[in-house]
Amino acid sequence: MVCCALIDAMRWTIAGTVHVMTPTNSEPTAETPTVEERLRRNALVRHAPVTALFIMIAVCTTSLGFILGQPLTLLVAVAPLSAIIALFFKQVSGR
Amino acid sequence: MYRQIFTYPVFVATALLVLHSWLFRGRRNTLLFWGAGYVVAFCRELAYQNIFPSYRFTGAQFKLFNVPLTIPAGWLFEAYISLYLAQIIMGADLASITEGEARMTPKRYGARVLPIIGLSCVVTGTIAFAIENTAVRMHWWHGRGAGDGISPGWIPGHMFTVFWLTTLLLYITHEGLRLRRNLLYVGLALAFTAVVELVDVIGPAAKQHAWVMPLVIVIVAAYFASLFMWRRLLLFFTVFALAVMGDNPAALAARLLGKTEPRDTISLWLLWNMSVVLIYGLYLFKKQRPEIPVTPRQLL
Repeated sequence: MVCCALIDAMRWTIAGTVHVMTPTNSEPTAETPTVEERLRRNALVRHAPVTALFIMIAVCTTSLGFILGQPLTLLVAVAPLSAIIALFFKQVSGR
Repeated sequence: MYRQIFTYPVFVATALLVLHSWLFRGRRNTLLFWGAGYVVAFCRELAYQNIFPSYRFTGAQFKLFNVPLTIPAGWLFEAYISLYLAQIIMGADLASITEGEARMTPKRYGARVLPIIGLSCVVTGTIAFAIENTAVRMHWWHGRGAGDGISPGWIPGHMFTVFWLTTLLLYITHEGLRLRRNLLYVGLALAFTAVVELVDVIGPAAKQHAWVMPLVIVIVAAYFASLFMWRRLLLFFTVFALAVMGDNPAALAARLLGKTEPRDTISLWLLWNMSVVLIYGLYLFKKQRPEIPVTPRQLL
């Protein structure tokens, strides 16, 4: 059951990442978009809290797993965050 | 030496959050959220470091009244991410929450706003779990007598603080979500937060300031009761008790056997603690999630 849940979480995460990172085809306009508008359209900025969460997972992984040699702690600490991110992508992708 | 690996990326991530707030929530709300939030979080740490010293910061350099300047920003980092994720996962929108009404009612607040704050606290629990594990082992801060391990009580402690912090910030930033009594409860709850930091603090603090404990329970109970949430009130206290008391059997057994409690390893009780929190999150998600996924038009 745990394996199925992990596989499901990975599936949703990958599907959601592809969905979110795909740029939307906006209609070309005569006006050049402002810097703010361009930032708003940027996928990484649009979902900055998730980007921040990814950064945090990366630093926790690096610190706990590789530097401090705490693989079990790493697994327990990072797994719930991954589940939350998978849930987010599932909602955003609408699948 | 390794601290920079953690510090700099998290600085970048926090800057990204402020930028996100500026772009999608506007200048006014950004200044209110991050400005007022910083002051409140700073006051909380001020109380902890100077009046109720239940933990100490060992790795920070820039301090004001014993409070590292980065720590209040850390609370907002948690609160902002949690609120955003909870809102997106639940597909809640400001318009759907207010239902076009100018004034918020306690009943609607309990039905529409509180579940979002509840789920954001669950997200907070998972973030806290990762941060505490890393920070303690990186020697950023240490709990009183906790060694290199973390205590299960810290997770509900984070949830408790973020709950009241988010309640306050939603009150300040969104007129349509204002419930007058919230300010009173936020003030009371934050004032007593320092004494309620659960397992690690409850023991010593209860002995020194026993009169505070009934007050704390009455405040939380009165708040939920005032929102006509009797069933959720019961559920909340069940979850609260299950999560917080998770540490006690291990501590009790260690005391009975005359041994020191093993805090340097991840205990089963910590896992139990997280499991209860996550099951509560699943309940909120299943109960409140719309059938068709909705992307919120306005961020809370």
